[in-house]
Amino acid sequence: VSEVVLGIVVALAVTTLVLPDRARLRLRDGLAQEFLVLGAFFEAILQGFRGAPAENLSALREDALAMLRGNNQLLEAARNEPSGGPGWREGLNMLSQFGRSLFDALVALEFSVKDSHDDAFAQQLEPALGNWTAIFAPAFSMWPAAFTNGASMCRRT
Amino acid sequence: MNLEEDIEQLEARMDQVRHTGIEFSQAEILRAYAVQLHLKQIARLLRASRVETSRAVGEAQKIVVPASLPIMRRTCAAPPRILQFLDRDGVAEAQMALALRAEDRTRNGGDVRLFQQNLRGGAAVLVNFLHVGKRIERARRRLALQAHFIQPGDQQIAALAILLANAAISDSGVLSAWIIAYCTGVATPLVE
Repeated sequence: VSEVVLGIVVALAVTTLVLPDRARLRLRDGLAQEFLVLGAFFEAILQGFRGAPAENLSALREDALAMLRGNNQLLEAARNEPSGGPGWREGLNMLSQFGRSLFDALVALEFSVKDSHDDAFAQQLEPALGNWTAIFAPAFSMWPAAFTNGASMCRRT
Repeated sequence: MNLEEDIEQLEARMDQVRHTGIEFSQAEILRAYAVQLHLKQIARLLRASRVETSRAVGEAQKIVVPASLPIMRRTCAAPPRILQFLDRDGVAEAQMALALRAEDRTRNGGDVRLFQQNLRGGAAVLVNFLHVGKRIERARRRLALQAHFIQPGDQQIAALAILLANAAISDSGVLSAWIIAYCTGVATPLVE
């Protein structure tokens, strides 16, 4: 029994101290959350363009920015962790970059619709414009969710 | 979800309302065009994130296995191989001891190769002789035969396997090649 306990203790020590993966796991979840916030931000921007401006637009922008900064720090920490393999590092790194690029594009979109107020020309674009809101908002969270599921599968196997 | 289709729908709608644009203010029209451009950029980023993430996870590197080869299907579905696909350590190359040159890159050529060597041992699995398809046609004409030596340094390629690849070019040589490979232990049975 003592040998089994000793083995468990050693395994825990190795997992915690020698091969930590906490930053990587937190980054994975953080990226999924980040893309969810970006999707909500996108939805709020288009809602303002199509009608009344969303009340939580600035709050969503601040949330997205805070998530980006937090995930950047986690990414730096995850790079120092030996576990995970190059594939995961590359995947998480790419997702982080796409998150930043999407945030920049969303801020540009927000800036371009800033002064809109019941634009009659924009209303002519319906329902194509409405389809974008309905279809694209879930797309923000779809790929990171798939990535997260893949990570879970990898850990199980 | 089809991002291309959504982009086309929005562009088609813009084309329809463009001719009526004179009724609206210039600021509204410019704003709509700016929104369209940004939406397309966002769509491109979303699509790229999907593709790149999938590639990182390994979806793009899955070997397509014909349903008629259950032994190969089981081999590809083994957990260790999945793990290495996920980690993108180049399993597609490392496991291929010998392959015929295909039209695609070697990374995606798992469906057209004649031999696949097991990572754990020296046994090679004879795969896809019956489903070599059009990519082997060129090899049959002796135009494109070239072996790919892409196995890791710690694994040895049987010299016989090179001969087998040549023999497998012709239809009549396929069976004999497999018999020789099976008798010499290079190949394992197709059906367990």
